Amino acid sequence: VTALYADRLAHAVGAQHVADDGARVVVRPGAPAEIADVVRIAAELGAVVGVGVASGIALDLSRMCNVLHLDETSLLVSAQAGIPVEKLEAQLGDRGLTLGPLPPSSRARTLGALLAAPRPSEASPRVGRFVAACAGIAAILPDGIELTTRVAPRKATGPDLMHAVLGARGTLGLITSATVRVQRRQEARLDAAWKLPSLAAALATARALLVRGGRPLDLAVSGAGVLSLSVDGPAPLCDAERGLADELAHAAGGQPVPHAPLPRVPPSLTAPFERALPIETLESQVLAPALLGEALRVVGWHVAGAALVDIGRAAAGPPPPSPLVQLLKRRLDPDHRFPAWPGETSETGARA
Amino acid sequence: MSPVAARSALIEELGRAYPGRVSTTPPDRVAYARDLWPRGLIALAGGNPAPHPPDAIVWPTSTEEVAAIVRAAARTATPIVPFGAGSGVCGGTLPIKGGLVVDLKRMRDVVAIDAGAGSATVEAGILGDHLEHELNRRGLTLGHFPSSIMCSTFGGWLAARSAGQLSTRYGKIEDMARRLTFVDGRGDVHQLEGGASPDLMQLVIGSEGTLGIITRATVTVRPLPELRRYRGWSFPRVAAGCEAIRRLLQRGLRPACVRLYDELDSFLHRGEKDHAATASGPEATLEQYLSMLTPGGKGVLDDWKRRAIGAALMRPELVNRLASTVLPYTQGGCLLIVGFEGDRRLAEAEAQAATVELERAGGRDLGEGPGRRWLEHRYAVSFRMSKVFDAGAFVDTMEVATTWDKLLELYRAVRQAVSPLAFIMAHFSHAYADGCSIYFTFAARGNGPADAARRYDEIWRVGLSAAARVGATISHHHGVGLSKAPFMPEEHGQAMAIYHALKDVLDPAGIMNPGTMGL
Repeated sequence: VTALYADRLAHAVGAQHVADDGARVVVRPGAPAEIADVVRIAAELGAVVGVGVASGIALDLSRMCNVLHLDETSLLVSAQAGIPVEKLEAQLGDRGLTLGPLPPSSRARTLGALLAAPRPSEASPRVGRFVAACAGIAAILPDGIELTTRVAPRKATGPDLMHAVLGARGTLGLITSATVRVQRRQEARLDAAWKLPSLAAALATARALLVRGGRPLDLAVSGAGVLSLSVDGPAPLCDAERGLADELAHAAGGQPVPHAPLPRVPPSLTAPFERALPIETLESQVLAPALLGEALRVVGWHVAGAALVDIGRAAAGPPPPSPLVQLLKRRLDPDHRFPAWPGETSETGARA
Repeated sequence: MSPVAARSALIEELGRAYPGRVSTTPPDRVAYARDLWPRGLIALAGGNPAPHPPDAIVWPTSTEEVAAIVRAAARTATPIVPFGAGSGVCGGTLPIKGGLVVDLKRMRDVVAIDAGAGSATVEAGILGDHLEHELNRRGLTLGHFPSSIMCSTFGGWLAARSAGQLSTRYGKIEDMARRLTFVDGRGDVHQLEGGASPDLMQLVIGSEGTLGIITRATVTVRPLPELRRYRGWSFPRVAAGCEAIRRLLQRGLRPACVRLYDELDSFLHRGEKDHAATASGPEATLEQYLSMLTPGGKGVLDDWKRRAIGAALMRPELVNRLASTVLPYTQGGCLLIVGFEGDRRLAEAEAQAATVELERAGGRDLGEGPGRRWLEHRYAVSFRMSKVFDAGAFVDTMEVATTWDKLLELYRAVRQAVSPLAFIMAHFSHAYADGCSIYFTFAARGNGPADAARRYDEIWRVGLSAAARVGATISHHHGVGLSKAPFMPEEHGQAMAIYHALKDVLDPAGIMNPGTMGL
């Protein structure tokens, strides 16, 4: 970190938006073009650049926190990457819209963080992983190229290229804005719960409900075998879905109990864990006594592909990058301009 | 060794390694030089069946064999075209640079089915209806019903991001995939998990053989529906029908089938009712209509009327203008078919909620008849189109998609662009909460094969350019191949850099399906 950096960066984004904290220069760009400038400057100087990196040039996207477009006809919102979920939800809420059920621990995170470094707890049974709600992104590649993917409900025009950037923790591309699908708050909401003989029985019931076509708002099981269900939508459909769950629970030896929100896995436990387990694996693992007593959110498997369960102690740390990610990294970022996997991207930085 | 000699040596080597499973015979080479791209069918009608035959066809039986074949081909810079059943309509499997066609149809095992978890692991080369039959025997369904289901493979679906007719409920193939076995262009084998961060599986699905070969996948399967509730509805105009579909989807309902036929499409369906003795249903009507284009076809019109329509196809703007002026004011308006299925309790409740919603949106209930007819005849059209081409006429479909706010703009823009060149009609299907696809069918005729080909190319150029101007995607589920390759840079913009990077790292020798997809 040199004075030269500071000068050039000040020219790119304005002096008042550059700060040297000793270990790194923190830059607060106000537009994608400014980020592209910063990326180019970083390249010339051989510095790593990324959101919240611990050394080199740390991007703070707090100025890029605006809703760009709300399309209420298509239920899509485009917003800058630095917008906090809390702020976005507040603006959507004014219009009777929502991103869907996100845990309280994610409300201070930014949209960019949700898409670049997703957490299992941000998945929901209806949408799957949060990245499945993403319809398009604008991003900058390590060589400074700015790209925008075309927004359409589905495409058959080759690989879905935004997936090289989504979930890649800023190692392959830097998200500057995104278009995500939002949901309209529904007329009716209904909560119900059952006590089943065992955790395994509760899990099997939850799975059967999803396989049979249930699309609940939220679904959770506790170590004590309580299955907790929230549904919303047209009233007859809510009733039918509860009816189906009731039938499945009774068949598995369950009884209705008063609904109460199940305690979530403490954020301190979920935060560092990235690995979601397929339910097939989980069923054997949850029977291990060490895991009993945790509340598990079953977030389904049919929408986003893999079976996901938010289970705090399931795995330690993010999985190592696959060989294919490493190959892509070498090709897209030969000079290591963006952080290396799993990234110098700290959670504090991503939140900034 | 020269490249040509190296290629011959490779084919000999493969012949020794896989006796009886490598062919260089002329009939096989001709058979594997085509797919169902109408551009090729026009050429075929012009007497050119196989402009680019492969040097050889090889039939591997395992992922290991596929990997070995790819390694050997990479060593000798021999192109590879992965092949399923050849039903693609975009020229995605044409061996334009020769080399090997790797036909996966001998890899057709259903490896594992887990009814409790709702998943099945299947090899790429199984034919669609064979897979569905295997699942049905166990009380399950994939819910994937492209009209090509009898002549397309599981692997082909994944390679091209296929959609079935009931995708609104069951999802497109990329929504069903959980795990993929993939041999890249270097012969390395990858196991890709869906939902990983980043989700590399979504970078391989849809790559149409340009990055490697998908040999196996695990997908979501469902219990067979306990109940089906399919009904027809009538809406005065396309716009009202679209609005009704949007409301259904945004209320959280997931119909299995949503198909809204525009005025012309609907008009042809109504005409069908008068000929109850023949096959009925919207698609069959199209087939009947198309048969009118063919001299000697089984059309219901007198010969002179047939000739008149044939002549009108040379000046399609007159027909289109007449249709769009007159049809909205005739009896019926637009036909919408909405079907629910699945768990008895859920499907019943969804159908009930949908009825309320559709009536509120101004729809007129036509009862179960139209829904039943559609279910019965939904595969009819794909197999009966070829005879149209024999007479110098051609027919094709263009499936574009966009968000709801731009959907009618897309409909008008493509119609307006194509109308001067072809007779065009459309239906809206594959609906989502955020948008919908439009399936245009167009038909025209040229003065001989060369003129037909020119007109055909021009229709695609103006149609897709119009779609791109609106901001729509140029393909919802047919894929890209050679047909849409020139439009890829505009579709993806700077994001093509990512595709090029994928190509460089996974297929450094450039042997995988070369020349397609705009790479």
